[in-house]
Amino acid sequence: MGEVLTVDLLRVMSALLIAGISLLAVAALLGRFLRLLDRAGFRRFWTRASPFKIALVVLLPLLLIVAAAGVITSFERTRLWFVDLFLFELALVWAALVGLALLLVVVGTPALAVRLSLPRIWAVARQTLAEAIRMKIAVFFIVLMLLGFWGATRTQGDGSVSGRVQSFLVYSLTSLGVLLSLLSIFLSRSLSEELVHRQILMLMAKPLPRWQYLLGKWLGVVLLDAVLLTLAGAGIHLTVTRYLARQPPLNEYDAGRLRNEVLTARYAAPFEVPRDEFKQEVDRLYAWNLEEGIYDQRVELDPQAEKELLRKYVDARWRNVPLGDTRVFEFKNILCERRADLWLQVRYKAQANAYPPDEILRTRWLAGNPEKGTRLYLEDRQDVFGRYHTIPFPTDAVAEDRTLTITFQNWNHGSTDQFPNIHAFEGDRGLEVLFKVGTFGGNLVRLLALMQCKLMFLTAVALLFATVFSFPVACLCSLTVYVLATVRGFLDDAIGFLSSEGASGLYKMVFPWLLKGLYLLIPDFASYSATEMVADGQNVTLKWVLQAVLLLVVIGTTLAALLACILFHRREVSEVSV
Amino acid sequence: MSHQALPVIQTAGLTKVFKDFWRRARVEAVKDLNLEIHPGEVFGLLGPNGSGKSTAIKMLLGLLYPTRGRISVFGKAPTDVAVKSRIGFLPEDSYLYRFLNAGETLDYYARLFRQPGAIRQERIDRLLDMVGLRHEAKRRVGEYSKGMARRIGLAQALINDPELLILDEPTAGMDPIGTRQIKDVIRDLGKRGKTILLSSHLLADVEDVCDRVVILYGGQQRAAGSTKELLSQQDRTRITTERLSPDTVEQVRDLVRTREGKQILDVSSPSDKLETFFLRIVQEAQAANIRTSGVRAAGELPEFLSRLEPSGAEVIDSLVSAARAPQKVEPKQVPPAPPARREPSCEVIDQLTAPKKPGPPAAPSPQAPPARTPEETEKREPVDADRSVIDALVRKPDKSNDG
Repeated sequence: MGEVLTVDLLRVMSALLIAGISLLAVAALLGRFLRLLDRAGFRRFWTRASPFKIALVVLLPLLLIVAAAGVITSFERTRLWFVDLFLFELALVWAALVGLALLLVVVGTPALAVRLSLPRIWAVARQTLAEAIRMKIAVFFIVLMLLGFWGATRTQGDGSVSGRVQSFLVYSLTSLGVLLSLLSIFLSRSLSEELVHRQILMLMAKPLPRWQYLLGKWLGVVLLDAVLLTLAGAGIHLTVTRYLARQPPLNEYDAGRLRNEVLTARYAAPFEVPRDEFKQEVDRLYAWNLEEGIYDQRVELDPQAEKELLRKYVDARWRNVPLGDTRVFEFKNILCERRADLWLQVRYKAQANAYPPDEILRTRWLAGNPEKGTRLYLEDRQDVFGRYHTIPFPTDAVAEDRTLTITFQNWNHGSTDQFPNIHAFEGDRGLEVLFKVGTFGGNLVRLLALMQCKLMFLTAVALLFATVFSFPVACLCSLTVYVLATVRGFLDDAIGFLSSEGASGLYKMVFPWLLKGLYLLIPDFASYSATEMVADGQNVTLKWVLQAVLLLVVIGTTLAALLACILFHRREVSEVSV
Repeated sequence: MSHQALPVIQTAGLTKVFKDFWRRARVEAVKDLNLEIHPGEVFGLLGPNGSGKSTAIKMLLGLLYPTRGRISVFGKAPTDVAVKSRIGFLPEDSYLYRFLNAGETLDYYARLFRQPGAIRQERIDRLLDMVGLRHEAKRRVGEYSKGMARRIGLAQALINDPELLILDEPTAGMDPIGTRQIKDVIRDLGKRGKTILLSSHLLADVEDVCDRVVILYGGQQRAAGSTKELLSQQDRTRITTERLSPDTVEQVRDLVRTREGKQILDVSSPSDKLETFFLRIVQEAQAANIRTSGVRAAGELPEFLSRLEPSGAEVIDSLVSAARAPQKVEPKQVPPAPPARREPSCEVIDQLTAPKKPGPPAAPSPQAPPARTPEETEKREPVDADRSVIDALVRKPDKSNDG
């Protein structure tokens, strides 16, 4: 009896506790919401219609009823009939109402906060924009950019129209990226200048929260970047499609290359590695090695490591095609239209082990699989060693199940015993099939989006430095970050080399940590650079853009901005930094 | 004054130590400052250059963080953003954006108060009228003279119809008209019940408008009290009459000697003030509509600057304390030239350029009587006013230190 009572009491108390806490939480959230509403100027609306008052009036008794019902049901002896009947329904209604209120509050609070802060943020952004334009900073960069574009249209490339378009794209997009990055860094002067010239005193004496001020500055620069990117993108697109692409092509091949390999967006599909076959082969070799007693000398045998070694051996053997041999490569998911007048490209790097570099490689290529009912195309090639080469094939070589079979034969007559002429397909990009999945315009837009992501991050970093340092120092710091981010690929190699082979103890200790710190702080801008891909007519995927948005904007920019806010809040704006 | 409403500004043991890079104390700019500024007061913060006035003001606005001590502004911390919508601030120098014009500058600040477009424009126009720069509203602020920039600074401080106005050396860089106008604005706002904190080392400005002052030196409070208490010299009497003949003066001298046994220290005829003369010349030019790229005739205080009605309790308080509380001096628009003395302008210039006729320079200046009228305030010579304040300061630090 006593035990039962204790359990019941516990139940009652926990029910009351939960009801109380949820009531408090809801009330607090509602209160915050109502305060915001009030500040947003909805006071009249709220006093007249007062749906929130009604909600409160309904919620409170409901909560009380539920709490009471909990109390009553926990005493089994005194259970009343209506409790059983209504409790479930009551709980449902209660949950629905609380859910509704919470939804309103959870969605409404940020919405109102944004509505409240937006005018101020926008005022600061407008002012930053006005400064950038009127102080002629933006004008300077725009003029520089126009000059760059003009120069880029003058380049000849290899003399063909397609080559000219490609070099124009590379030059103009690269200069656009560099100039806008410099502009973004430079515009952070707006913040340091206001600190040094003390306009900040008047601003911070106004009801302008510091985070809103920073956000406004950031927004102003980012907006300017976006506008300039849009204009420049439109300019590049028009220049390419309306002017350069209309120049007379050298020949048929040039025209086709321009259409199918430059002004397009192609997906590059890698070949399928026959992993199952590999596995069988590895198992077979391992068993054979065991049988032959090759592993007998080993003190400790790690089958997994041995199998991995064997797998690498099998893989390399498969990728190297000796003279006279043929190799069949399967490409899956070739999702292009299958037409005789639509082209896809097989791209490969002509690479032969131990072959004199100035020689010509002779190879034979077959596209299509008659067993699957496609047409078969043959192409004999003589290619310069060590370069990428492209062979166009009509897309009706692709089978109905979206696979493409490429048969390769090493057909090099000039081999000797000294030079066995093994043709090698190294890495994932040693051989790939490119087919059209999008348009040049779309590709350009995605590239600009990637660029904008980088600029957003860079702007946040520049502002972060500007909250701490005076303009020259902040500018140099931001430039350093920009340069490091741009060359991080090289840096990785350099530091990796020093830490692994440079061998001295200090290097080994220090550099890996340096590297890790660098990875954490500075993103690899090169991995978000799509200029070469666009010039090569390769598709800039939406996934890539989204990844940049997530890593550079959502995470990188937010972290930099948060740090900037914290530092700026701690800072005494009236103290001059020198 | 304990019966009054909650103080607008209250500081307790406010201290600011500036530190160098290694966190070593470099300067103690403000030391243990206790201020209490009540609603509707015009409060003066006095002190020589570098005495901590600006530092104190910046701490009140949350632009500097105090090393020690507490601050409450409208009962909140000075870093509270909401509080700032009730404050107008004019820093020691008008830090404006060179690339914005006057209208845009005011528009920017108005937007920070989230004022709707129509109200914003209306207020900007009124304020530009007030500071006499409406016709120059489209010019870049970078081209403005210092005084004109100062006027824009004053306008931006009023854009939100503040309850508390903090002015850091408001008359610095202003021409006499501007100085007069700022003083008028301060008085008018004071009459509308606004609280004003004003720092200056131009003592005449402070003396003319402030109800109470605190004098800082080396970051410490040296004297405090109402302006009248501090400045009245109980041991002097001034009588101003129409022109008397030398005989009569001698007779009065005798009378004073025989009746009171005291000396008459100074007999002179007051000269016209340069300020009055200057104002007259400029107003004549403005009436003749001579073109200027500078300030034109400035307007009245805009209507949107609200009158703060005291609450019920405050009314009763004020009635109770009416007898005790010093009545505010009623400011009046002074005519450009006093009607009593109209002299040809060249004569005035002669007077100004010539060495002072009346009295040897070492003679003590005429002292302000305890209750002075605004006309007298305007007629007092600025040099003498300064000197009298300094005299007062030198004489009475011990008396006012405990106040």
